Amino acid sequence: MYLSYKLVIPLLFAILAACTDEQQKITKQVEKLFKGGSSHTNNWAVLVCTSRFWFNYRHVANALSVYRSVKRLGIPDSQIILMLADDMACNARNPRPGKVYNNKDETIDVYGSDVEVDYRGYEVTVENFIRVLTGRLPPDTPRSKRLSTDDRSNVLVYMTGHGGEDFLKFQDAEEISNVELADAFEQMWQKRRYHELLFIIDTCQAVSMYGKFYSPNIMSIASSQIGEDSLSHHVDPTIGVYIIDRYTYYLLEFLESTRPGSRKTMAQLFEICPRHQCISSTGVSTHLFRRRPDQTLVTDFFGSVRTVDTSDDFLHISPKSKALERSTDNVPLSRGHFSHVTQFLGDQLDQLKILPQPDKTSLGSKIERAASAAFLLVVVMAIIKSLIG
Amino acid sequence: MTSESKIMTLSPSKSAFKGHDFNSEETQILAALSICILFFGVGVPVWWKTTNVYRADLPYHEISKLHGERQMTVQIFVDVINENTPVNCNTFTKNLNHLLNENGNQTSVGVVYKVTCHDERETAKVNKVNHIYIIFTNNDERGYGLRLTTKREVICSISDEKSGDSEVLELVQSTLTSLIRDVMVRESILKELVSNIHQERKDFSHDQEMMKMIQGNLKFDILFSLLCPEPNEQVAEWNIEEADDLYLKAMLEKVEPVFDFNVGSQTLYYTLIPYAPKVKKDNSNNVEYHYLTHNQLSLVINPIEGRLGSQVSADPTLNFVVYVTEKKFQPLYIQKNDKNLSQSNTFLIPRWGALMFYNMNDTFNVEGNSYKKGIVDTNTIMKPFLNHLRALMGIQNPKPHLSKLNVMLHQLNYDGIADWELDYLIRLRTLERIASATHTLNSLYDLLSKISNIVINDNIAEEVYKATETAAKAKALLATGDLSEALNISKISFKSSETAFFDPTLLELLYFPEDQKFAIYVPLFLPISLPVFVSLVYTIRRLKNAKKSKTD
Repeated sequence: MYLSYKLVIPLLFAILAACTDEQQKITKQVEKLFKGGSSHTNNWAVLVCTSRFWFNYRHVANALSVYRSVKRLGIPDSQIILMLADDMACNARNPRPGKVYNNKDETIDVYGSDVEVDYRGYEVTVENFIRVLTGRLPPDTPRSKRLSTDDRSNVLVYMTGHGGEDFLKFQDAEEISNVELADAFEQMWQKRRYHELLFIIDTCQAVSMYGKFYSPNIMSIASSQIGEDSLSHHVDPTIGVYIIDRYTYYLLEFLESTRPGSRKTMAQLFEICPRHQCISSTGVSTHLFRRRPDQTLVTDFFGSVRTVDTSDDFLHISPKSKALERSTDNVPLSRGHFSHVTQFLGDQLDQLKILPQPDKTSLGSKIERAASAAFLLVVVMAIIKSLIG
Repeated sequence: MTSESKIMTLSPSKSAFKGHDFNSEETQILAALSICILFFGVGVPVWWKTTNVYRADLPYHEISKLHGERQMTVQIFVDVINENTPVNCNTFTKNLNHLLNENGNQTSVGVVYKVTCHDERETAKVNKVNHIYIIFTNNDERGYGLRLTTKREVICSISDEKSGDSEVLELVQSTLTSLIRDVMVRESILKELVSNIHQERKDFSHDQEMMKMIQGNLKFDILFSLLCPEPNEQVAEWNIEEADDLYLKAMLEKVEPVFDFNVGSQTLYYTLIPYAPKVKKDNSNNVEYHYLTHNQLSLVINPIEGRLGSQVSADPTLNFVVYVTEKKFQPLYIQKNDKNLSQSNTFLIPRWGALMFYNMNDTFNVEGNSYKKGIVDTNTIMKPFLNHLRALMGIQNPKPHLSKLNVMLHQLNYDGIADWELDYLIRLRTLERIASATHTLNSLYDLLSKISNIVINDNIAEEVYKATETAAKAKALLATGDLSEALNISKISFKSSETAFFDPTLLELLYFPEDQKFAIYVPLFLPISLPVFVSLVYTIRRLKNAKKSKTD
């Protein structure tokens, strides 16, 4: 009896799992059918750090950390516009020249050797930022500095720096107001320069910046409410400055565990950085967004999963030298279909012949396999020993 | 004498107004009044005019009219030609006309068919643009059937005894109607595309196809890239110029009126795709082949995109990449969604291009060195790439269509596009460009009314005028059926509207919002206007007193 129970319960679980799996598949299909609306085909990111001066190191580290995550999740450099208002890596006060860290253990150098900064130093101005968003750049601007999005692009806009109520400070000399930002996004929408937009802002009183948005399909996340300050996370005593902000620190923690094909949703992203960790409370705005946050994937904005089409019902096209005249010897197929005279298969098939390959494992990999097996064995023995003795 | 207005007394000897008393009340009143008049009557208007945002005249009325009447009509000519069959041409024409034009669901695009009857092929002048020719012949022994040729003809071969059968004729009529409306003209996608541009889309059935299509830009670059990831193991080369000559040139010349394509090619070494293909083993656990699943394909392009250099030119680029698979993964196949292997080993990325995994055969010349050099067979690569190019341009291969009647499709010529497909492409792109220009102009109009800081210079106004006029003209030409001229004019309209909307000078006065204007001018005007205003008040009071004292 006992044994049969042991069998029945796992069996039940297995059946249940199979059912729910099937159920999930069906709900996914149904969801897809009723999603109603078009999907995106490419991803872009605009990452802006607006502060200069050495003591604002953490803002540059913020922007670079998000840059790294977004690149790791798949968005190529040609589709990232990175604007850094000051150069921390080559700053005269940097005790680690050429490197920018976002953690005091200095494990990851977020600057690296392949960073591509599109707007640097004094080029980061409100005017350039608005021009990038609206596409009104002078004709000699190179493509790497343009936001060439279309109506199928999902855009991530991340801004960090010093902000106040209804404004964000650029370079300590000028400001962008929330009205201007809202107008810029409206100009983008009018010309269909985005499909969906995620706006993340990590500054003081950040919620005020997205308060005036009125264009559709925008989701906004802010690190602090009006009247609250966004605080930095920790100081690195060897570098001597605050090295990262709280909200971005927890955002990175979340993104580190996200892989390119991940199914994590935006609703989970909203949960990060609660009050007891961040001291400020985050703000979220989804009233302009068409989809539900728990059905929107994080990789819809942070990663770049491209839709591909593998169908190959092709028509035959012959080259010029063997041009066929209007041929009349057509082969009719069965009733009720179009018949294409010849499909293009024929001569292709021998190129794709399946040949058996001999097993070519090198000696090196054999040794590797043996070593890992031995290691596992030792671990298992140790566990058994500790259980017994 | 008031103490506020202390007028400096000029010494009588230097003054031209010798003897005039500057401290008299009359002078003071006159001085205050004249300063006020100068200030409010001359100064303030001049300041207002010079600090106004410059907006050249724009045809606002025409733009809103164009947007209000944004529904477009396309006229298509259908010529029925009867060659020696007993079919009654006139009745057939009348019935077909009725069927084609019924419930032309007037949403964003209305299609109007003009069906006429002709006796002989020669009189009808076959193969004109925007015409569809239905030719009745009785040259076939097979009873009856329809053939769609690569020109603009549908040949209906019908035997003598069947041409009297009204049921057969009805069947032919209904098949022709759905053939013309759903396959050759494709009304539903024309409507969907235009309503999408105007952001009024309700029908999403063609979403996948529209996602693939490149947008209405006039110029594109086509870049062929050959990627050899391990040139130390295997080097490949291709004769792409010859392939371009044999395959591509004819197609690009044919679509020249619609798109301007520039073709380039390159070979890249050591550009690796960091993928992990799955292995398919056969029964004896030997490796049969490697394959990539549909999901893995989505992540293949990103690592190599930066190396392709497609961002060098200013025009959007279509990339066709041939990746010579690494020796350790050969042969590598693509597994489609239905778990079958792809026949062509290519996949299409919407609006970007296509990529093909090319497995080098073992049978090529070994040049005595340790590495093998191979020639990429351009026949193998050009066929799928040309089909992908067709899909990217917007031409869909006809899908099987259920009807009781057998419809046969002719094989394509070397130019790769049938004449009726070209007509469809012209119609699609013309509608797209006119709709896009209309929408852009309307958005500009909306933005100008919403945001007051946008400057409109004279050259922009010129572009807007040009765009508006040509858009209206192209619409009218489409409605009369002059398709080629409508296409040319729509290109001008599209280009002008884009230039006007995206001109950098529109943001000239960007950083000068309303509240900042306030902050700049108030410190200038307030200190000056305060004494002027106060003296005005006193002047009026004095005048009133003077009047009162006079009347007293």
